[in-house]
Amino acid sequence: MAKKLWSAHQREIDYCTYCPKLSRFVCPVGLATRSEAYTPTGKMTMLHLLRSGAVPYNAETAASAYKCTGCRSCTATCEHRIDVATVLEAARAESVRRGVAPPAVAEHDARVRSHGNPFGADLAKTAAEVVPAAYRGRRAEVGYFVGCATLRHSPQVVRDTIKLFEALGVDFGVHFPERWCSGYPSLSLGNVETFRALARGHRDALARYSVVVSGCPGCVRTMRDRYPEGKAALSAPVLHVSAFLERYLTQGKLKPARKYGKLVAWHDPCYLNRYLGVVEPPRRLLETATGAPPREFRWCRRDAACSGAGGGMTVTNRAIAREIARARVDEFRATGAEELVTGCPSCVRWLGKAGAPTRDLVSVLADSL
Amino acid sequence: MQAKPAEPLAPTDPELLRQLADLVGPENVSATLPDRLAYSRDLWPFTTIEVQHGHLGPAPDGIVWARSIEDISKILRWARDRRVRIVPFGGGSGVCGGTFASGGGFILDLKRMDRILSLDPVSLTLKAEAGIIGERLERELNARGFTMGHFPSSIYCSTFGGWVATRSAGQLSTKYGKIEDMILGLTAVLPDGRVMETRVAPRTAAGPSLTQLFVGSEGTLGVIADATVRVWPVPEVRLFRGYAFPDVQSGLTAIRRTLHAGVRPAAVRLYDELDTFIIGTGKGAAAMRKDADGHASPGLKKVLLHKAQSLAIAYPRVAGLFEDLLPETCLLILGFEGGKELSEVEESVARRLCVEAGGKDLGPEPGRSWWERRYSVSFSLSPVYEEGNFADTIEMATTWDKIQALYDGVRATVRKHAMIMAHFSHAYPEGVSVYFTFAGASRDRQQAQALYQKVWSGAMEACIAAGGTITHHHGVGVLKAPWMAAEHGLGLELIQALKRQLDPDNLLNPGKLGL
Ligand SMILES: Cc1cc2nc3c(=O)[nH]c(=O)nc-3n(C[C@H](O)[C@H](O)[C@H](O)COP(=O)(O)OP(=O)(O)OC[C@H]3O[C@@H](n4cnc5c(N)ncnc54)[C@H](O)[C@@H]3O)c2cc1C
Ligand code: SF4
Ligand code: SF4
Repeated sequence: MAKKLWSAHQREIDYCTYCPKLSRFVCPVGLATRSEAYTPTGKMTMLHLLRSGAVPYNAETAASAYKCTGCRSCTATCEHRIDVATVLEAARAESVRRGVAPPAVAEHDARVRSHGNPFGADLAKTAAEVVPAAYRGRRAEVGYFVGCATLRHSPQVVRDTIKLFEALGVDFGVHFPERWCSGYPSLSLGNVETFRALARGHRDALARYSVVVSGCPGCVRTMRDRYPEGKAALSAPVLHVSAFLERYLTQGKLKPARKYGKLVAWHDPCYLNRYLGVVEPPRRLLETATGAPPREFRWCRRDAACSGAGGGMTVTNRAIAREIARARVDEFRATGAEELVTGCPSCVRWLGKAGAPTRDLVSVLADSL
Repeated sequence: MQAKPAEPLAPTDPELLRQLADLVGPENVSATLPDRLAYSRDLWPFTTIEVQHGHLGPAPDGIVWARSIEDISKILRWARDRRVRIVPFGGGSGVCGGTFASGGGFILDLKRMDRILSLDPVSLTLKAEAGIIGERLERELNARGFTMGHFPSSIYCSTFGGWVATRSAGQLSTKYGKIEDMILGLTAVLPDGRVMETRVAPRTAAGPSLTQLFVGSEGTLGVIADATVRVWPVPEVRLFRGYAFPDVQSGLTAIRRTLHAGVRPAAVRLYDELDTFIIGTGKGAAAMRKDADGHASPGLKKVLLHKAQSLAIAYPRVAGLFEDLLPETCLLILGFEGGKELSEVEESVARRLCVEAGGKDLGPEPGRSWWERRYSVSFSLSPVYEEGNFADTIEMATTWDKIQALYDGVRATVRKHAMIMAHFSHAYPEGVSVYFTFAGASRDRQQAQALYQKVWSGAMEACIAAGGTITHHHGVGVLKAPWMAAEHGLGLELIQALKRQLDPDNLLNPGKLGL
């Protein structure tokens, strides 16, 4: 008999299959679709049925595993700490290998392969506009990893980050590759080969820094924890910009010249919160910039709800991703804040598209300098 | 287990799908394979055994989501015209096969109706749509300073409407009541699509209660669209006390006297010897454990316990031997909550009564740790099934005079087939419910299911013989339908007559409740 699928994940798949749907109340996809099929239990049961051969492995059954933002809300609620996101990601990789992944996945792959980013955009031009020549690939202590989403959707954040680093006297250079994507979207869609190629492409150039800093929590997590799988382990620690800047706050070096005038609420990006464990630093930074702790969402910190932008859902399941964002924006409105501040380019964009006035933390800090 | 590929599901009649899409919009109708498979099971352990062996329950033809009362009406009218079966579906956390679409038909999912409609801080009432998930409702209430006081172990996965449809009970029911005690009114859509809203009043004498007619109707008489219930302010204090009793009987006496003294604990949990031993492995029950067995190393004990448990599940006779070796200790946890003054007085009266009845005071720790881990038991199902075993719970109730006989009778029959333990967790001045947990094992699906059926038949017969009610809060579904006649006698005919009147073609959730 052929080796069973996902044997390494048998325990996780079984636990969720036999679980009385205990994490359904936090799964953004389960909540947005209100379908039993897309609760964590529902999605993992599909893998159980595929493993046992009870259902055929085809485009229809493969589509289930794509209905996950990778937010890890389920894991945070689960007493067994089952990492559903990683198991579903393994299933997506298998679906790509079998050629039964949703068509959008191959289209995404083609764009990343041809342009080095999922948008199929010429990011070199934008990069040249926002990164002063002196910093490009400069050898320094700190390497700033921009990431393709920031460059594409919020080039101003790159300027603001540079402005902040300059003001704080950080010895930094900007990692300036040809292919700007860290590989996170490819990895999460199951395009593993492309991910590996991207990871290896960054590894050598990043070796010159003693610490790598990025404003994209998805990139930070991918470089820190997943590059070793792509045989591209980085020697330097990788930090989210908020964790990096907090040191300057503690040292008393980050002092705002003027208070940021807007009433803000902090949205915890899933990757920053439940993967990197960075929860308090951005709050402290925001308090420094605005003079008051940020307003909190009803579902915050460990329980924070997803924006819908993760896991490649904006590529494969756009309508669901939109519905997830809509729910989060409703929650934002209930906070009474004027602006939604967060620390992830994808959240900034996706919640912004859903109608919230969004801003990146770095820009708020830069404004208060 | 490598299953044979299942027969492909029969395709759904595209004409029906088109008509439904016209009624409620294509985004609210699905007949995809993942959806049809996912709705082919609720949490009835019989189906979990099927899934364990790579099999599936009966798949519905499709799923339709209602967004409003009007949608429900349209769907039911359409179903009546086309003679299509409809199965109302909340969270699918029911444990009796209540959402089985045995003869096909469409699932009517209520979760797209999940708004809080009103919260009255003066009368302390809440009106909410049926499909809101319990934990989300409770958290929203807490944020506004209120609680429903309804904490079923399935609060993470069940819906408000499902609670009403099954006469659900929460872990603090002794103070706050079961759902039937909390409910003040509801809106039900009848099988012909007409909408009936019952009047919300503290009490009424205008004939039999039509609200209560739908409480526990399990989707057979109508679809519950929303309900109005009582809420409470978030409690000022939450106090716990644990006691060790030498046996079940003395523990029950303590509970009875406490209730008869007019004291209303929120939590009442008396575990029998085996259940005490098993929950005693929980971290926080250390105080109780120390009392029970001195100073066994917790790590070693956990391993031994796991081994013993596996053995006992596989060989019920071993369980019998094992039980004889158990320390004679039954843990009782009492919890009190609400205003500080009253709760403290209640706690101290109960403490005196418990000690007088032979209880040894273990302090607040066992209760606190139970509260912190109050949903852990739901998480423990996964490892049981993953190891190839199965487990289920049987909840019954009776008056104080018959409870010991009921407890003894059910245990005696079930022990022949499976490991069984029990606790008593919903108490009333006139009686109490008993909640058995049994676990069994078989590598073979048919054997496992035969064993499962034997346990249930034995337990039901023993319950009826002892004069108990066959279900305290899980409801009937298809599982307990064969015993509805024994439960109700002539009363079942009355329910059947009502069903025929409302739903002559038996299209709304057929086969449940013995209908
Ligand atoms: C781990 C676990 C622990 C549990 N603990 C408890 C507990 O502590 N207390 C308790 O009472 N129960 C408990 N249960 C049982 C179950 O959660 C309850 O029966 C719950 O009330 C079912 O709600 P649901 O929304 O999941 O309903 P479903 O399972 O979807 O439906 C149950 C029945 O009600 C009908 N129904 C559902 N919604 C409607 C509606 N809006 N209108 C008309 N009919 C409807 C369905 O057709 C079905 O017959 C537990 C279950 C599990 C799996
Ligand atoms: S992650 Fe945990 S809580 Fe969620 S379905 Fe799996 S076992 Fe259950
Ligand atoms: S990671 Fe998030 S989206 Fe994925 S199953 Fe878990 S809760 Fe749902």
